[in-house]
Amino acid sequence: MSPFYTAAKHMLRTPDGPSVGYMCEFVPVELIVAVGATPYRMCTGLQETTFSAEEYLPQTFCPLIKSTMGAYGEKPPFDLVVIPATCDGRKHLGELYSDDVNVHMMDVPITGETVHARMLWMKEVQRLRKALQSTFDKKITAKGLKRAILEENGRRELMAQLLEQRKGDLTLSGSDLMLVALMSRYMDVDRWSKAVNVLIASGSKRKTRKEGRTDRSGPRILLTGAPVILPNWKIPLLIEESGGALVLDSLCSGTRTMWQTAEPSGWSIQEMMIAMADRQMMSLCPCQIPFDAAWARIRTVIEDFQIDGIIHHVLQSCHPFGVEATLMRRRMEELDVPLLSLETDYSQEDVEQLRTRIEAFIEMLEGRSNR
Amino acid sequence: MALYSAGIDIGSTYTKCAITDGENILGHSTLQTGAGAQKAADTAMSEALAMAGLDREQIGAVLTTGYGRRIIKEADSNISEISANARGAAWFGKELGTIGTIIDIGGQDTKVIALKEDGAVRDFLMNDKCAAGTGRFLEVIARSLGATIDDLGEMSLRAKGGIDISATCTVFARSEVASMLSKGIEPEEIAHALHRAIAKRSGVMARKVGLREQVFFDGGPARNIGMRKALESELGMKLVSPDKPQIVTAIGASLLARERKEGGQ
Repeated sequence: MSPFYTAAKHMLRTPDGPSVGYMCEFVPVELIVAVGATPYRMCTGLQETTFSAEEYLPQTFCPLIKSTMGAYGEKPPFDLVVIPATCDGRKHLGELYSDDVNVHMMDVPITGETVHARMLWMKEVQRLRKALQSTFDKKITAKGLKRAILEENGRRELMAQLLEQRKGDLTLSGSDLMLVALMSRYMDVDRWSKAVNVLIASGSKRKTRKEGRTDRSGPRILLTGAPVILPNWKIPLLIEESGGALVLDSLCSGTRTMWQTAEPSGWSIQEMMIAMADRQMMSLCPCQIPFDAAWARIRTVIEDFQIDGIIHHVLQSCHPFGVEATLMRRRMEELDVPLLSLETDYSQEDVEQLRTRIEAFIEMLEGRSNR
Repeated sequence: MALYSAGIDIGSTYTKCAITDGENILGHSTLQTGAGAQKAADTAMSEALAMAGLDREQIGAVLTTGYGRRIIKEADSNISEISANARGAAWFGKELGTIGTIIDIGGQDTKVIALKEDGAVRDFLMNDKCAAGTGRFLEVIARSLGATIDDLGEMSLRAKGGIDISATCTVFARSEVASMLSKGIEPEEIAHALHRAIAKRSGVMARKVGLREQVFFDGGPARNIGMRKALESELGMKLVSPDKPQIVTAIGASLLARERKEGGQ
């Protein structure tokens, strides 16, 4: 894990050379790579920078948006900032930046499952390509894009292998898994892939020797909801400290969509654009309705990974994830899988209150399995 | 030899201790937590021992719960107050009839716990991190009315009703109360409105978890008759409580201490 810990220490160091700051997993990073720039995910988890952002943003705004605004100030150091207009926070952050910075907003269709939505999104991905080409005054070629797609697919295939190992006893803690996923946005693909290959190899060795770790034998937890970004690591750590086996997350900062590859029907620019757009459209974010696609994924995960209980993370003032908690609660009654919904922000002051809830939830799950 | 066990519930405001032999409550105590959880736990334990007529050496198992549960030295183990409260309520269920739902208003938390038929926790909900609608809220407002928390219940029963407190934040409610007082509104009316405001919040939580009879009301504020009436009218059902609703969680912890010891954990 040490390459990931090292990368985590430096994650706030923005890239040298041509770079594109982006927010949110709707952005197909392959286009950025294909134009010769380094993609950098701007979402931050710092508590201290939320205060300075209150100079520009309402105090009750989402902590992730406040933290990001505070971390980079009014002029983030990128050649281009790409922000999908998903939630209110991202929309208005883009607006605030646009006076001083080169900002490209992407129009994300809210109703995600219609033909019209798909067409709109295709056009948006085309428009991003044009914006990148004009910013860097360089054409994105079919050859360059193919290379970028294959590289990103390779990364995602490795992630899928790592996830496959979560199906039985855990050989890697859940918080480490989340760190590996998060660091895929901050490490170059070769370094990241090499380190993940090491984890996969040691995982399969342990699996064949049946060396699941006993300290990870508690109730199997799936973490869903709002993104968890370093250093705001309290939720995964509390789950593990309370005796939960954190099997998997379904967060956009983690592994929610990282198992999906883009599979173009051919290698023309057009076919590649379609494949990328279709994959990103499956971001499973509650800023889009209906909830069906996201729920289908959660259901599959519950079954495939033998999940005993779900912990749903809501960031204060993030209404999409707040409502998602209710939608999940309704659907989960049929499945008889308990749900704990936690609302919090980036502060540490509620750690003990969160701990009580998480411990009680794990005690409740243990009670179920003892009967 | 009989196995005596102690449960210590170190809450944000009060520390409670109960000593049981599995069948009977032999001793109990309630005192303010104050600044030192360890000291409060020690004193609560000595007082409960004195009531039980036992020595510390005779206690075979100690389990702590509540916010201070992890920092107490003499505990054999600890458990969340949700599990301990559920265990305590289920024990009272033998006498009061099977408990379906617990509403616990504590010093800084309000909890609603749904129980299965066998007394295990089915689901639970706790209020968010602010103190709105908790015992602390009652205490702060009582002070602005120049009353104690124990007076509030009786006061509110004398009210005609029809006044609402809209603020749910403790700090804002306090200023709302101040402005009501300056308008000449009677403290009785304010006390009544206050209980209704808390009942409404707790009612939302209870319905979210799902109400099943019987509904067991515990925690310190369950002693407040005004609070109880307001909650009963909000939920449209009768609530049951034991004599000392503030020590239910400590009793549960004591029973669990015993079960863990006997289970060899």
